[in-house]
Amino acid sequence: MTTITVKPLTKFARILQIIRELCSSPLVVFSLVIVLLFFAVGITADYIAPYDPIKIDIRNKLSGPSWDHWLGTDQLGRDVLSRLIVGTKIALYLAVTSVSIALIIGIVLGMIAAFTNQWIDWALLLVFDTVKSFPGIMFALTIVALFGPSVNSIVVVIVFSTFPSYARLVRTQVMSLRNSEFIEAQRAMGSSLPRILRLHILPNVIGPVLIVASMDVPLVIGVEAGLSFLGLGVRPPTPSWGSILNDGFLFIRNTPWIVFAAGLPLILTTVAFTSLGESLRDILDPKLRK
Amino acid sequence: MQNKNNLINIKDLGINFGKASAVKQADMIIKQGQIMGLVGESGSGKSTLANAIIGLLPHAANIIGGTMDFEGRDMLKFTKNQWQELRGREISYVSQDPMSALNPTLRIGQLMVDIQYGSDDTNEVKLKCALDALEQVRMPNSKSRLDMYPHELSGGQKQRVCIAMAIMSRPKLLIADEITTSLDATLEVQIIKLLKELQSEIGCAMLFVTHHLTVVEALCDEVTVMYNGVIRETGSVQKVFSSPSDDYTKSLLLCDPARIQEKCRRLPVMSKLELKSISDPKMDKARIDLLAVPALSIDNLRVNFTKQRSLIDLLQRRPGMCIEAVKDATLSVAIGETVALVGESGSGKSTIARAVFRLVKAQGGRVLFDDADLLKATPHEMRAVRNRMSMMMQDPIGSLSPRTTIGAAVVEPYIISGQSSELNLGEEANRLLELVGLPSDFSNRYPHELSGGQARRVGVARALALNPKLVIADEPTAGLDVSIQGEVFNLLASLREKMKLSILIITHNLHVVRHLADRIVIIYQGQIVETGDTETIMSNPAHDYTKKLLAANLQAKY
Repeated sequence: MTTITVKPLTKFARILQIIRELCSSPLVVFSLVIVLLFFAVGITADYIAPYDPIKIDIRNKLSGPSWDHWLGTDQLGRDVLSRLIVGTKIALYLAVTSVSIALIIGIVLGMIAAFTNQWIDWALLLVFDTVKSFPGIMFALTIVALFGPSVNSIVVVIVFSTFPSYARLVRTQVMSLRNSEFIEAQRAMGSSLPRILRLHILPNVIGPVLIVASMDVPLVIGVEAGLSFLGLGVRPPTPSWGSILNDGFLFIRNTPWIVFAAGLPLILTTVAFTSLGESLRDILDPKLRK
Repeated sequence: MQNKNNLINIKDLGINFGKASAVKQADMIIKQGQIMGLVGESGSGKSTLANAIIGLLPHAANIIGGTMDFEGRDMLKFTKNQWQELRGREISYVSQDPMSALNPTLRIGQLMVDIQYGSDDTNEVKLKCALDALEQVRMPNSKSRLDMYPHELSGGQKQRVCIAMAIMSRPKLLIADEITTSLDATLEVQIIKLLKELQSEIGCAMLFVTHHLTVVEALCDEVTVMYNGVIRETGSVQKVFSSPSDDYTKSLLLCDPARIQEKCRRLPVMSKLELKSISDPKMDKARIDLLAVPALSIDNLRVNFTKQRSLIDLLQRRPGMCIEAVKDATLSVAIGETVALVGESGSGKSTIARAVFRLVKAQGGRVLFDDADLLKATPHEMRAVRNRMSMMMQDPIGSLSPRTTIGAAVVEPYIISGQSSELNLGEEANRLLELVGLPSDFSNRYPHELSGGQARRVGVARALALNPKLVIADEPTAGLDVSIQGEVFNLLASLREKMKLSILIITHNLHVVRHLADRIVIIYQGQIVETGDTETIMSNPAHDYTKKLLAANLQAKY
């Protein structure tokens, strides 16, 4: 099976080439490092946190940065660095689950809309537009009121507010591919619809969608921070970037470092994911390739 | 040295793309009022040379030496502003693709007024100029065209608009880059006639870039032949075409299927001129099995296209607009026979093929293949039928999935038909590639890494994978260079001898297809107007449209 054994090699070479192109700009290298760090810290959070993030030590409250507590402590004497590290776990969980769920729903519905009859297409478009036009904060409040504040409520909010854009993007892309000659050739050879969708449509639409998704990751983290800041997100005492910001905000006059400590990673990951997404789009764009 | 009649004088010009050289030491003189043809295969550097004359080389290109004068002025020293002064005023350019050359969001009138941005006239005067130019290019109902958008015009009309825009400023030189390539044979003749008339009216010189030799013969005074970046021969059309001195020109002329009068079994190709062999009527007869049931027979096939109804139409229960694409078409292909279905674009010839494969829905008639009516077959039966007949799509590269390797693409029929488990797919891919004369290391390449001719071969390999009884080939030579056309034809010819294949070729090019076809079926506006032996149709056409089509397919003069 020569074709099958050699194929991954060329793909591997292609990935190497993408990485090499990515590394040519310092901003992208910086973004790549931040993103990798984000994943690494999120995965190993429970092992690398120096203190228990929810252990209260009232005597030591609101102490400034020191050798024992690099980023100081909060109003209950909890170590801010540990809270931040464990908060990364939640941010990572949210980013991965909500974006991938929204992506899968978006791709499936987008393909269905593009490939079935006109009525289903219209109905789905109506659904996408209705969901999209619903005010985000109102929707979030409704979900929280129904299910209570929790990480999974945030996932539901994010999935519902982002999947219509993926679905629309996929639908448009599939529609332009649907009548192209290689799809017609597949039909003439007798390919089944699932086979056409899986092998010939999906690889051609997945690139742009993945890039949009990578640019949505900071949005997700931002939404979590915002909802937690409003007290609608992660339930205390569980640490999350938003709840740390919220705590720090209350004491901003005396202890401004808490806000900085929680705000900086938020800004850094946002910039890193956005710039990585943009440069990925430039590299993967077939018009800019060659 | 400097001749007053010389409009363009190029000496020793060299152009590089990075380190690769695209044009080497080119010499070219275009005299005032002269039509110069520039001929070569794709990749020969002819478009690069034409772009250099109008100062529109891509960024990667560098001029590495030589001189280039326009009326005695050194073009290589021109500043950006000087180029801008020259372009559109003294040198105009018409590009290959009329479909994408016009801004789709502007009306023709707006487009043609906009191009006169340099003049101080009022818009009414400019509109009048636009109308004059449209009349000059013999645009029917020219006044109403000014309010139309580009998509409302046909391809030939769009190309007329492009030419009108180019001649409005009365340029001294008009560069036309493959402007007839995307047009039908009948339209091609009309555009050539128009260019000749314009040239005598306006008196501008022309540089006509093409790979179509008969067009050069019909239009040009002088011709320059280019190969691999080098100018091989220059001279008057009559001299170069009747007694070429360069070896490349000689073989190019010998290979052009349109210039070979007698019907050939094998066409000569650039690398092997001795391959040419005249077809033997006896052998052809032996190949065709007329007594058996035909491989494919189409009876009174009707295909209508209904225009998609809008929501309002649906609510008001208004019927959609209906276009009759194929009207009661009847034709058959015997076992081992090659039939050519000839007609211009929009005549419904591709629709017939697509109806056979059930890619479009037919409204009536029968399609008999292996004693079964395909129009009534269930999806399951249709799947089995698709293993025994295959289709080669029109666009060789576009019909290959862009993210699938060639090796995976050619064995797809096995996987789709469920025969993959018994076979070694890697070996099978190599066998198929070898069958069509491609090296086996092609199996790891992607479609965009192939040339048009190579992709066409892959298409043939994929069509033949399951040893089908019938192959339908849609425009198998469209967009291919003369030398590659011959190769594709030889490939099909040798395969049908080996495999007793029935072939239905769909094309608009009569002169090329007559070497391969046993019978020709002429289709016009969805109706089959004439059917007959290739020889009879070519020598003694009965229907008016066939005569028109034959006249439109340019004959070689020299």
